[in-house]
Amino acid sequence: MVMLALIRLGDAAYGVPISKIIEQSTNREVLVGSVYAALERLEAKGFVSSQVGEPTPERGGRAKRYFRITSSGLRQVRDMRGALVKLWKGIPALQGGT
Amino acid sequence: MKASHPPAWAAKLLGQLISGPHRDALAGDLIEQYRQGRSTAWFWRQALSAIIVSLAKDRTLGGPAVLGSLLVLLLTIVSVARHPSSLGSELFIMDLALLSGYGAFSVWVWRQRRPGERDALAAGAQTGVILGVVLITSHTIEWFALDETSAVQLVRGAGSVLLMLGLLGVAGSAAWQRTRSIMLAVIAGLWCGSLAVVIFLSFALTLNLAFEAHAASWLREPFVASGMADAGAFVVRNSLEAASEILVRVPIAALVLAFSGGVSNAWMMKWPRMLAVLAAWSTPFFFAAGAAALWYADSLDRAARPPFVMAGVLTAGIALCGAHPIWSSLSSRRGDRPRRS
Repeated sequence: MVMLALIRLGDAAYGVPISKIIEQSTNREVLVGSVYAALERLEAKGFVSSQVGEPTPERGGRAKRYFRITSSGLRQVRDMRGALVKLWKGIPALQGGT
Repeated sequence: MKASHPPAWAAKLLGQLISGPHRDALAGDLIEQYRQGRSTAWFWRQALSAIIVSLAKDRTLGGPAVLGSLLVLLLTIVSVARHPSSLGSELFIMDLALLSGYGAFSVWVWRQRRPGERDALAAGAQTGVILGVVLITSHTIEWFALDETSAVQLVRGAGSVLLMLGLLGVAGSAAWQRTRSIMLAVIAGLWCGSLAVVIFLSFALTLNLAFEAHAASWLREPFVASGMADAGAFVVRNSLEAASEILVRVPIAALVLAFSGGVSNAWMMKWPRMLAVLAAWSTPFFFAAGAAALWYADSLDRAARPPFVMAGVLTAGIALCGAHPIWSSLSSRRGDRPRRS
């Protein structure tokens, strides 16, 4: 979910929009700490890279950290999508959204 | 957009208690969203959950160890407060000072950010948790008198000591393997011992407080011999003595054994494969010889035991300390190990 959010946001992907886009998709409150925990794991695996932006006053002088999906991250998303589609097809009752 | 500041205490806790490379970015995100209209309750919820997530994913276990040290301090103070007559010596002050030192070490570990230090401390934390479980298991068996025969008592007593020696050596060896630094190997060993002691004391002191009557009956004989009037106070004083012993001895053992583990690993890494295989084959015999010496010592009078106990612990300890360096020497760096042509 976090990787899909990164793809949708492109260059504007930092903690706030990532959390908001997941929140809007799931209609649930997102714990920002959990989003960062996931991002750290993905970064350690090489699926995501990050760089620090400029500090701003509305953030209490703290810099944003922008995240981007890497090429191996994109491959991972494609593989995962393929796996999910295969699994989805194996559930006849849910095909067609019913 | 709100112009106000986020809740000061939540922001302060967030700044102090979060670890990891994205700490500032996370805090900034929460402040930004708060100023965009999120509630104070939302900020607190997010801050506390971020702290919990950060503590849970910290491989060094620095944060939980700080809480553990505070818990042990609290349990010690509560125990003494319930039985003020347990005071009367400098044990209480000494224990408080030692526990403060453990707490300070935990804070230092918690605040480490450099990858090398964190890798070494993570190795120490893994072995420390195992050692803590070993100490708790041994204490529980002894406390509930599950080891009725002397043979079982010997296996439990000697087994837990030998496992402790081995695990402290493993901590040093594993940390050296990750960092190639003897200094970090020693720090990992100290962290292993420190964490294990905090885990063990948290358990043992809680047990004493929760089952005070059982503790008093368990220590009935030494209590009668002590001449003290209050059995509960005797239990507390006995706990303070035992705590000060373990608080002093384990770091000393950790220092020596982790250094040995780290140096052994560094040394064996340069050995030809044949020598490492030979060491792997001879280690079980060393261990068996040490165990046999301990077994024999148990059959002797108390006065005649020390040389055999020392020899047994030393021999079996060397075998256990050598286990990880030998294993890592055989399993890693196969490509660049000097080989016979």
